[in-house]
Order: sequence, then C-alpha cells, then structure tokens
Amino acid sequence: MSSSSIPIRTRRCAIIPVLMAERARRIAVVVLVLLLAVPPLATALPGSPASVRVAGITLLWWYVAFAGPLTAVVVIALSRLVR
Amino acid sequence: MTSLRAFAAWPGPALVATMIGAVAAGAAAAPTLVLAVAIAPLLALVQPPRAATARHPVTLVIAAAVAALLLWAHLAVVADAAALLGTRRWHACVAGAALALLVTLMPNADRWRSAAVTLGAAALLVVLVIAGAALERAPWAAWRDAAARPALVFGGGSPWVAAGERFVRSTTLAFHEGQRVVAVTPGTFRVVETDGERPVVRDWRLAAGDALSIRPGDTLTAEPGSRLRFEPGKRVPGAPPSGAAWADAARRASSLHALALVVTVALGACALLPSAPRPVSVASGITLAIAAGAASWGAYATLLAPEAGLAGSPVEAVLSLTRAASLPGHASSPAALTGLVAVGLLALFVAAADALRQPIVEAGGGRWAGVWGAVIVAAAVGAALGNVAPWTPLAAGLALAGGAIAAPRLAGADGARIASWPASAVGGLIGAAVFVGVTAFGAGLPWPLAGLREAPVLAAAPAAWLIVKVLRREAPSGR
Repeated sequence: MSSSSIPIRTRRCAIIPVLMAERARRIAVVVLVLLLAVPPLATALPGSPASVRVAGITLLWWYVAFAGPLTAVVVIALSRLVR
Repeated sequence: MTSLRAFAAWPGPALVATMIGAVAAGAAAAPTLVLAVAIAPLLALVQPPRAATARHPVTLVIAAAVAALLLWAHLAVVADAAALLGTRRWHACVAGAALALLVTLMPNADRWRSAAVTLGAAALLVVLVIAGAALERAPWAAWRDAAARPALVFGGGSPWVAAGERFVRSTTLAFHEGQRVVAVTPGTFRVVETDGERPVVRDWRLAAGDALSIRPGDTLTAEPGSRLRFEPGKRVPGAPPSGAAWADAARRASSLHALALVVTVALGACALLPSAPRPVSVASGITLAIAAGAASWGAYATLLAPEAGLAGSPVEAVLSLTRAASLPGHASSPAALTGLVAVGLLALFVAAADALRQPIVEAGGGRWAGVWGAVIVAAAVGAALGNVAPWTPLAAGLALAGGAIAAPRLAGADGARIASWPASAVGGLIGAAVFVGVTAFGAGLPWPLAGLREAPVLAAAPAAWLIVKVLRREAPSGR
C-alpha cells in the first residue's frame, strides 16, 4: 500500500447484518400472518373462488395442504438466508 | 435431534386428533385449523430470542395451569381411544399418567423426547401409507372420490351397522332421513320430534335388542357408554348431506371464529415453542408433515368411514384408518394397525408431556417435581371425566398460554420489571385474570363483547401486552 492511499475497511460493519436480519424477521412475520389470513378471507369473498376445483380438489384445500405451508417454509428459509 | 426435542410440545395427540376429526367430519373450521396448526411452529420460530421463564410463583402457577390443561386434552384423546377399543377410560388415564411420570422423572428425560416424537410420527406415517396402499389411492384421489359421493351413508362393513358401536360422550344426532336404530346395550335415549308446531321430547328406556324408529327432522341424544346399531345404506346423522357439501364446508365458517382460532393457535405456539436461534429444517418438516398428513388422513378417514365422529370423539376418525386392513386383498391385520395408532398417540403424548415440564422446571426451581406430579394428577382426573371433549381443555390451554405467556413476552417482558416483580409475572397475572374473567362471566357481557367468551384470548392477550408495554422498566444490571 502506498503512503498516499486511503485506508478503506473491507470488512462489513457488524450492525448492518443485524438490522437486515431484524428486517427480514419482521417481513417473515407479516407474510406468515397474511398466509394464515387467506382461508377466512377466501371463503368470505363473493363468487366463492376458494371452492373452484383443480384436479378435483378445491383451491382452498390445495392451499391448506400444500401451497400455504410450502410458501411459509420458503419465506422462513429466505429470511434466514439474510442473516 | 436437539431441535426436534424443542418442538416436541406441538404435535401432541389432541392437536393431531382434533385436526383429523375436523377434516373427516367436514367441519367449517377445518381448513383454518389445519393451516394454523401447521404454520404456527414457523411463526414461533421468528419470534425475537427469548429468556427462560422467570422464577416466580405467578409464572409457576401459569406454567402449571397451561401444562395441566394441555395434558388433560392429550390424555383425554388417549382415554377416548381406549374407550372406543372397549377399555375403561380411567384405566387409560392412570396408565398414561403413570407412563408420563415415569419417563419425565427419569434422569436425562429430555434425551428420550426426540425418540418419542420420532416414534410417534413414524407409527402414524406407517398407518397412513398402509391405508393409502389398501385403498389404492393417493391422498388427492381419495379426497376427490370423497367429494364426489352423492350421499354420506353407512357402509355394509361399518361397525355401526354390524355389531353396533358405543358413544364416548353424550351426543345429539340430527337425522335427515328416517331410520330404525337398535339398542345393543340397555340405555335411555332422548328423542326430540319436530313433527308439528312444537317439538315433543320423549325419553325411551330401551333393553338390548329394542328398536327405535326415528323420522326425518328428529334428534336423538345418546348417553356415554350406550351402544346403537344403524341401518346400512342410510344417511349418517349429523354428517354433511353429500360429498360436495363435505368438500365445501368451509363456506359456512364464521369470520370471528376463524380469527379466534388463528390467534389462539398462533399465540399458543409462540408460548410453547422455541424462538429464533433454532435451525429451520425441523420446524419446516413439522409444518409440511402436519398440513399434508392431517389433510390426507382426514380424506382417507371420510372415504373409509363417513360415520367417523358419530361417537362424539375425534379419535374415531384417527382409528378409522385401521379398517383399511379389512379391505379385500390386504395382508395386514386391523389389530396391528390399531396397535400402531395407539403407540403413535402414546409416544406423542409422552413427548409433549416432557416438553411441557420444561417451563415448570424453569419457573419452579427446586420445587418443580412436586408441582409436576400435581399437574399430571390433575390432568388424569380431568381426562377421566368422559363428558368433556379434548378440544375444550386444548383450546383453554392454548388461549391461556397465548394470553398469559406469549403476549407479555411479545411486549418485551423478558428481563424487564414492573415495580418489584418480573414484568412477565405481572403481564401473566393480568392475562390469566382476563382469561378467567371472560371465560367465567363472558355470558353477561353486552352484545359486541359476548363473542369474546368463545375466544377469551382476544381479550387476554391485548390486556397483558398493554400492561407490560406501558409499565415495564428495564431491570437494573447486576453490576
């Protein structure tokens, strides 16, 4: 390093990952709560979109048994990746 | 395995049986319940890191009350299973309580917790796979076939039409179709006829073999322990009228009930399960297994036994999969599958019991063993009372845990104080007091608040959260 160069720290400041992790955690909480709110909201909508059948099963039960929990798992995994 | 041990409190037999029973019966709340129970462990996982339960008499009493209510529910499921299999329920209560005490008082008991959860989950998974193979259907095909039935009727192989089955608790059945029922054992049955303007109540004392003709629109109330035989091919009383109605039952759900259910289950999980530092793999596995497992089991159960739930217990739906072994061309025996279900439920019960012991150890210090013994005895006495369905103590335990443990913690009670008390004890006391007050005196509340009696956590949790948030002060450091 020459004597005129500016000393720049290459290591990240520790506070930034902590704040990012906290933000990711809060986003994950909001998404999980929204996922939980889908069944009551979907059944209350006019036209009953939750009762539409795909491959013989209603959209609501596809969501409850597979799509909802899978989305929740992916959200949690992504929120942990930020840490 | 350490992570699995930490989540052992969640998939207890009462939660498992309640979900499966709700799906099989086509309950309006079934989708909300299954999703909430499945996602709740993940919601608990993203809580801020938490401290151990504060050592204080109030936190000890709350932890003991929560454990007693939840163990009562789990033990009631075990006792219901025993009653349906022809054993006396108090025998099952004593045996289950003794087993829980024995395992949890052993040195290094928590090492057995992971093994118990694994054993319970594996036993139930084996039964599910065998039932699917016997029915020659994947779960989604079973669901589709169940939803396509024109009517839910008694099959020729059902024990309710062969030798007759017994009612676990007092049950009122609404008949949509005329039917001739036969008493298998002597008993008194109340029939309410709604023929004319006013309903007519008749009490019938029947001897074994006596028949009773029920007309469409009548209701019949059977006492616990009584046995009845129904006619094959007739519609199941109390069940949805058709497969389509079973599949679309969620449209009848009330929004307040759904909100109460979600808040009760989610806050209950936040109180009972560990938070941030745990790896996500175990919680993710539990989430996916609960959602897919409960939906699949419920679909198979309603296809094999549309009358599951007639006895007044959700355990009937859990046990109904053992009938798959009786299907033609299948090698396994119903007794072996029944044994696997019993082992699975008992293992999940022991694991949940040991996990519920942990907060009592933290709050009680050296006194924990005596308190724990009292908790187990109280749970066994409650479970021996056959007329209380497992859902009642389960919902009460989760709501109390949510209002008196999770809400103060979410308000930042860990490590804080209110006057000379730990903030978690003050918040817990307020939450528990509101919970008890609303439960006991909720019927007298004015109209908009009267609904809180069905969902006391909606009042207890905000009260506890607010008190802690407003009054808490950081505890002075030890320096």
